[in-house]
Amino acid sequence: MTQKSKWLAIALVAVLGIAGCNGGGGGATDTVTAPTGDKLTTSDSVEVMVFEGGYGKDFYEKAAEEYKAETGVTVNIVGDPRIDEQVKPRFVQGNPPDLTYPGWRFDHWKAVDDEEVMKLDSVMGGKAWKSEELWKDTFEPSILKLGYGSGGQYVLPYFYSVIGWWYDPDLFATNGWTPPTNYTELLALCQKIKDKGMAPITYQGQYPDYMISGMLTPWAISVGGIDQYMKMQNLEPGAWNSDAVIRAAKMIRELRDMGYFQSGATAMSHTESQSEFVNSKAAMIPCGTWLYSEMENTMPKDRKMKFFLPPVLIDGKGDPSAIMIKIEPWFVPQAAKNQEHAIGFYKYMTSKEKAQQFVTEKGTLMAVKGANQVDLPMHLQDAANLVASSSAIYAPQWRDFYPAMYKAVETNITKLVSGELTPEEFGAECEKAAEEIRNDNRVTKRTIE
Amino acid sequence: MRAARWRRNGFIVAFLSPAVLLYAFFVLIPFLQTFQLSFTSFSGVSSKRKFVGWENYQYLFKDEVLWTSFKNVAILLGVAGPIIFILSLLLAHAISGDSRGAKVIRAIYLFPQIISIVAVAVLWRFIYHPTGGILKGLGIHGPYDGWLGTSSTAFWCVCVAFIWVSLGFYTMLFSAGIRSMPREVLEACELEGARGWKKFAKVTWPMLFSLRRVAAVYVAIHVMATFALVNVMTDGNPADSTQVPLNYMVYLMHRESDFGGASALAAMNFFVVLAVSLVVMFLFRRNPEEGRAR
Amino acid sequence: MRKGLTWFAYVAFFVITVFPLLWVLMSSFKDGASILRSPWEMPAGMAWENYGNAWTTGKLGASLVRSLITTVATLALLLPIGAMAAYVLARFTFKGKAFLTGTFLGGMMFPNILAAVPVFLLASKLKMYDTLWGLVIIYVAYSLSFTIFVLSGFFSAIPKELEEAAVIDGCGYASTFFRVVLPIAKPGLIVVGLFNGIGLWNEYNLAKVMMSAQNATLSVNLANLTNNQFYKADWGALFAGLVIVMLPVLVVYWLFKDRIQQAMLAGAIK
Repeated sequence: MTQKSKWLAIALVAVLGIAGCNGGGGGATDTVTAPTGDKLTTSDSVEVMVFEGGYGKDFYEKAAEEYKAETGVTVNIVGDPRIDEQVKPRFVQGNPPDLTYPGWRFDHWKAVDDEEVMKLDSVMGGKAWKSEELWKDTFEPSILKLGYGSGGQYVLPYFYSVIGWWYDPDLFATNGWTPPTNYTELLALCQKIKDKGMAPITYQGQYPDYMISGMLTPWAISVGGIDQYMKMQNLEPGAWNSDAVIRAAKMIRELRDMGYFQSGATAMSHTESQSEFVNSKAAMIPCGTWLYSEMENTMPKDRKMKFFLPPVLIDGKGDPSAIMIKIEPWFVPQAAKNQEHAIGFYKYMTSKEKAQQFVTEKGTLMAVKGANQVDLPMHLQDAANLVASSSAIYAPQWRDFYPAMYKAVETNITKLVSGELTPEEFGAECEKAAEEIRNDNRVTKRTIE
Repeated sequence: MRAARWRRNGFIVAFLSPAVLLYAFFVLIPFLQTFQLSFTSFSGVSSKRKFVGWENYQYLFKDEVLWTSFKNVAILLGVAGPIIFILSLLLAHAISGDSRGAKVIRAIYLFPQIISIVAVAVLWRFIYHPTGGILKGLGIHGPYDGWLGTSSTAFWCVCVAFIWVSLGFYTMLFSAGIRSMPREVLEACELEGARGWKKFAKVTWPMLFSLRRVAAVYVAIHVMATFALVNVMTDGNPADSTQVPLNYMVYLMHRESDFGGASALAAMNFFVVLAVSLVVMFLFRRNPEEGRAR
Repeated sequence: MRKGLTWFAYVAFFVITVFPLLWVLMSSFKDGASILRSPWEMPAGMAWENYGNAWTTGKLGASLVRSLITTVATLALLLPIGAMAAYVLARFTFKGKAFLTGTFLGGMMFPNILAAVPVFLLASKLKMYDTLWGLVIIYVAYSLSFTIFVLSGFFSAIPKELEEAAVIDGCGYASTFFRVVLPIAKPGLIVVGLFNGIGLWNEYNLAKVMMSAQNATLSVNLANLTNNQFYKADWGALFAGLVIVMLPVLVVYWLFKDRIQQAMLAGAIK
């Protein structure tokens, strides 16, 4: 018995010992002079950890070489499709990289809450790379503001994606179909496609995110206007149980009841459903502008794809040119050892010249002013034009601000599609989830304007 | 004499310490630390932690997904468990002979158990695949949203996969029990003309009482440890209908940056495992037919 | 009639168990698109390039090497450490022995992933995260329970007289263990090694917590390929990957069937 308690004591002491050594990660770098990214004198190195998605990491590596030639500073790029798994432990160690783009799996706003992210407002007021212009003025303001939250510019955008629907122009031409410009046309087209024996619409059922972005959101905006969407994003009471949400849910339900969704799509991952689309088993799919590069290696030769806006209501209240984008967040950790050079490198990467290069080489749009005015590949042209001419660009910021809310809507939309929830119940369930988040004092509330 | 004792004790300490230290540091302490972390708010994207008392538990108790996940474990325990138990008993009985068929089965029954659980999960995904799966190929179409895309069918599909992967182990267990039965009992039984079903009821079942307990405890432990199968096969989809506690724990860690909540769930799960194992041990505590078997 | 029923059961069980594995093997030789289009069709040719793709673009080659290294290194540490502890627990009486034995056994009851959060934290702090040596140490720690449990059973079964004779010959405790006991217990070590080896080769939970995708072991890599996130939907390579992960285990199992079953039983019946 004494032996037993001795062991317990040893174990407890050890536990407390470990618990004791959680030295604070943030706040350690309260340097006297704030970094600006302009004082590039030392020959230190900068560590950059980047998400290696469909666009790879070669662009950043090349930029690092050029930057070294320019400044003498060595930039080490570490890239991986799951870089978040390597970034997290580095924050826990209190030893984060100098600059990072950890991808969508990393909860960067939580890191902001934990004071792990550097506030960049004063840096943004400095000069841009080899330019007299202020750095903040070189970004598209509507996109730059998406990195603003908790009273500061913590996150900077780089390239961004546009969310819409896709079709195969050759397939549509042979059948005499045209991409629908509104919901009424969509219904008519779906019937034609169905009569042909093809599934009109497929979707990435395992990740209901695509359906929220590609159907629920644009339709809710169409019914209730963009203001209504801001209320939803801010979890205002009643916003999720509104006509806008319920009507949008009814539209989804209608497509399902008419048999316009591909059978089995709910069970498919994104690549599975996208394979169905590129192999012409389904005629349309909602997705972002990354679709082409994601499927490039596996799709049939000469397969074309074109973008169109989610077909909204003819008589909708919302701006029919409203368009959803998603930014890719970059930030400088508060505890980074080399903030000066991290910022310098990012300034270089966001110079107009580099930004244009990224657009040309990678086929995606950039948050830097003037960067998108280059020759774009076919799959991107329409998206770029639509963004350029849109008077209502918006982003689903609540996805990053309130992951639990997003998860609840994902669950409910799956239930809506399968018929477990009626559109009215869908609205009520989402509202219930919103109320829970509102009352959850663990969740930091950020107002989206 | 004293020197001898010192030598003996020194030997004991020297031989035990690598194992004890490793085990204490990497297994015991982390398990204990889970409880400590469950009372903190901890995002996993920072080293910062804050004591929050029972808050994580309070929010978990209100979380419907948690209850779904425990309900699913209960289904595995209450439905898949008995099926595994009975099928493996019957199978063990059926292959106890020396016929060629029995030998073949004995050679292959552990295949599902020893291959990677990830491979099993991937395989079953393709069995149920909505556009090109094995079942679809057989002309069995299943529900509109696919077997694994429909809330009402998805978890049962996971159950079937669970049974498939588990059956071999329990069959092996019971086979060993049958093989170790005293020959005289079996011969006496054959002399009485009891074979097949009769023999099973009169001899096999009662003689296996202690193994039945072992098997039942193992079923409980295996069910409570379900993670990789669900993680790879469905990841809890659709609409959390196939969620299990351990997979939800990993979800909380990485998707909601809630390492504190994940720890609270782990702590709850710890006690559930303990309770379930004790209940099972109690239910199978002794042989009700002891007298008759002798 | 009764015989017919038994044979029906045999055939049904055989088909259910073996057929899916054969289907995986067959599919691994088909081109990616036709796996889903016509799952029941025999492969048109032998698409060996699936294996090449799995090996290189799927990075299964690198993760296979990693799995191999971790499995071998873990066994190399685990077996001596486990055997030493098991021997002491089986042969000697000392204060706290029951508590120690109970603590080790308790480890078999709880799923290892319950400790995911602290293990992640510990690994981050000690810079073990995402390193093979870190994974090996974690593997050794989490395999000790089973190893000690089974090996102490083997040691208990060895007649004590042999050791007594060795001691009379002037052997110390340690040399008695290494020179006399261990050689006798070799079959036990092999059994435990084989069983642990299979488990480590297949291990998913801890590897998922401990390693990033870049340094994933075979099982984790395979799961990643399935739930892809890897921007390439190549089913042919995926099935080739399945064969690569399953085949070594099945071969080892086939060669050492009886011993592996022995280990599983020794772990279960006590």
